[in-house]
Amino acid sequence: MSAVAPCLDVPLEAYLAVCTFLYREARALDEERFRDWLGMVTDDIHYWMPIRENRFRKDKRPEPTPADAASVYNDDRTDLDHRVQRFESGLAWNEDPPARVRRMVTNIDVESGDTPDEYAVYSNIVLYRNRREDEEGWFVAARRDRLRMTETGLRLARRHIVLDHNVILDENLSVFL
Amino acid sequence: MAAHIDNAVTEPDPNGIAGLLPPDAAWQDRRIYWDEDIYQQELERVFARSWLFLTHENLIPEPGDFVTTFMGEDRVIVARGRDGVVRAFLNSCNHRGNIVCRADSGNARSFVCHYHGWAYGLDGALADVPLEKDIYGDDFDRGKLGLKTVRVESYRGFLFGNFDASAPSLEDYLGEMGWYFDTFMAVPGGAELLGPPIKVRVRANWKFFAENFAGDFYHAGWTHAAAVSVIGGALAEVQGNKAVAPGYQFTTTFGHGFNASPGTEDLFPHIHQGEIAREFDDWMRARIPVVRKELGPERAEIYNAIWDGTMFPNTSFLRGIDTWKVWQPRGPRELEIWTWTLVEQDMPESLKRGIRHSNEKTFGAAGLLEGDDGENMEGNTNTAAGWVTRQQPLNAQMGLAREHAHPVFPGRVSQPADNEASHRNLLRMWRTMMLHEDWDKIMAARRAEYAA
Repeated sequence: MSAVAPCLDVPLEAYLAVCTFLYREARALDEERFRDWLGMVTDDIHYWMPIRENRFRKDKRPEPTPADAASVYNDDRTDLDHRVQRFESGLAWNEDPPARVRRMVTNIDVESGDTPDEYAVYSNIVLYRNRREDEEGWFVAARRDRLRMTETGLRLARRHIVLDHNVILDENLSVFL
Repeated sequence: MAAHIDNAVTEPDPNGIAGLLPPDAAWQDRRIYWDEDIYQQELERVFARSWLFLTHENLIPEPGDFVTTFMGEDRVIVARGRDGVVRAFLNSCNHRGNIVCRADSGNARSFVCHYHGWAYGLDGALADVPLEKDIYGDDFDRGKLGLKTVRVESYRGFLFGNFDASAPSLEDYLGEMGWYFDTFMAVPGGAELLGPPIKVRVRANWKFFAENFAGDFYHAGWTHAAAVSVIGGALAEVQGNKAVAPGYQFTTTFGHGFNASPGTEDLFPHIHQGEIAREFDDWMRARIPVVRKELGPERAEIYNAIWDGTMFPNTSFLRGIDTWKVWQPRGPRELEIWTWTLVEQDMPESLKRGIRHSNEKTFGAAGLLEGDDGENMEGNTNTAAGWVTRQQPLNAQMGLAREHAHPVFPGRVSQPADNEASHRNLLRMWRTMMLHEDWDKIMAARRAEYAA
C-alpha cells in the first residue's frame, strides 16, 4: 500500500465516496429522478457550460468567464429548478414519449479543494440520447466539479462543463451533463 | 391540386414554383420545404440576392478583427480593415478552393490558405503567393485573384451582406421595416448584440423557423405550454391557449414582418425573472418616455411589447426575450440556428449580462422554449418523405384578407397577434424572388401586389 498511497491526494474512502456520488448522480439523471438530483446539489450551485469557439492558438483573448461567455447553461439553483419544473409539468411535449438517455462517467480524479470541506473533482462524461424511432445524439465533455461535504453527505457545489462541440449537433442540449 | 399560374410571370419556372403556392400563399405545397432542386434555386435566387445578417459592428471593433459566417451555404469572412472599414468576402481560396480561415473569430493581419500558402489581406485581395516570381509566368495576375467580395451595409450597427450588385440598398430592402427596427435601434445609444453566436444543428427546413418567428404567436401558448407555465410573466396568459394574444401583426413590402403584443405599465412584456426582471422593468419605466418623445406614441406602444419577427429571408429576433437569430440553411432538410443576445447599448452591464442569461435560458441551445420548437420543425419537414403525405398542401389561412393600412404604422397591420399574415407575407416575398430574375421586377411585383 505504501507504494500506491502517494498517488492519491485524498483518503481512499473519500475517493470512493466521490466516485459513488458521481455514479449515483448519473443514475438519478438517467432515470429522470430530477428532484432527487436537485437534492444532490447545494443551494449556491453554479452550473456552467460555455460554448466552445474555434479560435487560433495564437489568439490572446482570455478564456471566457461566466460573466462574459455565451453559454448553454449558466445556472443557479433557481434556474435548474425551472428546468426540472418544465419536465415535471406534463406539458413538455418533446419529452413525451421519453427519450432514452445514458451517461458514462469516467476518468475521475479527485484533489483537495480550496477549503477543507471541498474536493476538486475532474471527470469525463459521454451522454448518449436516443429519441423517437432513430434520433441519436452524443455529447462528450470534461467536467470540473467542486463537491462539498455537508452534514448530509457530499453535494455538488460547482460544475464547469467543457463541452467538446462547436456546433451542437443534436437539436437541443436539454440534458444535464 | 389546382395549379395557380401567376399571369404576370413569364419567366422560366423550371421547378414550377408558381404552382406550389398561390400568390396569397394561403397554402403551400410541401415540396418547397423538401425538394433539393427547389433548394438549389433558393440558394441562387433568394440567398445569393438578399441582405443576409453578418454580425454587429461591436463584435469586431478593432482593425484586424474578424468573424467567419455563412451567407446561405457560402462561407464568408467579415473583417475590419486597417482603415476601420468592414468588408466581407468569400472564405474559399481561388487557387484550389480550400477554406482560408478556420477560426470563428479573432484578429488577423491576413488569411493564409493551408494548402499552398496563398495569403489574402483584410480586404480579400490576394496579397502574397509563395514563390510567385519563380513558378508563375507573366500572365499571372494577383490583382484578378482576390476573393469575391460581398456588399456590406450597416443598419444602425447591424451589418448585412449581399452578393448581388443589382440588389436595392439595405435601407430600401428593409422598406417599412426600418421604421419598426428604429423602435429599439434608433433609441439613444442604439442596440447591439452579445456574441459569439451559439450554434445548433436541427434536421428541418429553415423556412419553418423563419415563418414561425415572423408571426406564429399562435404556437406560443401550446408548443411552449410547459415553459410558460414555469417562467410565468407576460406570456403566462396565453399558456394552454387560454386566451388570444393581444396586439398586432405587421407586414412590410419586401417580406419582413413581426408580431408585437403590448404590455402595460404594470406588466412589462418580457420573460426575464427575479432580479433581472426588476432591473428590466426599471429600464422600461425610464425608457418608454424617452421613446415616446423621440419616436412618437405608436412606437412607444410597441417598444413596450414582446416581439417576434423575421427580416426576410433568415434573420429573426424576439424582443422581451431578447434573442437575435439567423437560420443558416444546410440543405433543404437541415439548418443551423445561430443565436446572439439583443440588448440596448446604454443598458447597465449587469442588465446586459442578465438579459444574456435570460435569452440563453429560454432560447439558447438548452433553452426552455427553444427545445420545444426544434422537434416541431423536424416533424413538419420530415413527414414530407412520404410521397402521399407530400401531396397534401399545408394550410396558412389564418387572418386572410384581414390586413389593412394604418394611419401611422407603415406597411400593413393585422389584429390580433394570433395571425398568419406575416407568415404568408414572408412566403409571398420568397415566391416573388423565386420567380423573377431581376431585382427591378421583384420590387415592382411586390409593390404592385402590396398596393392591391
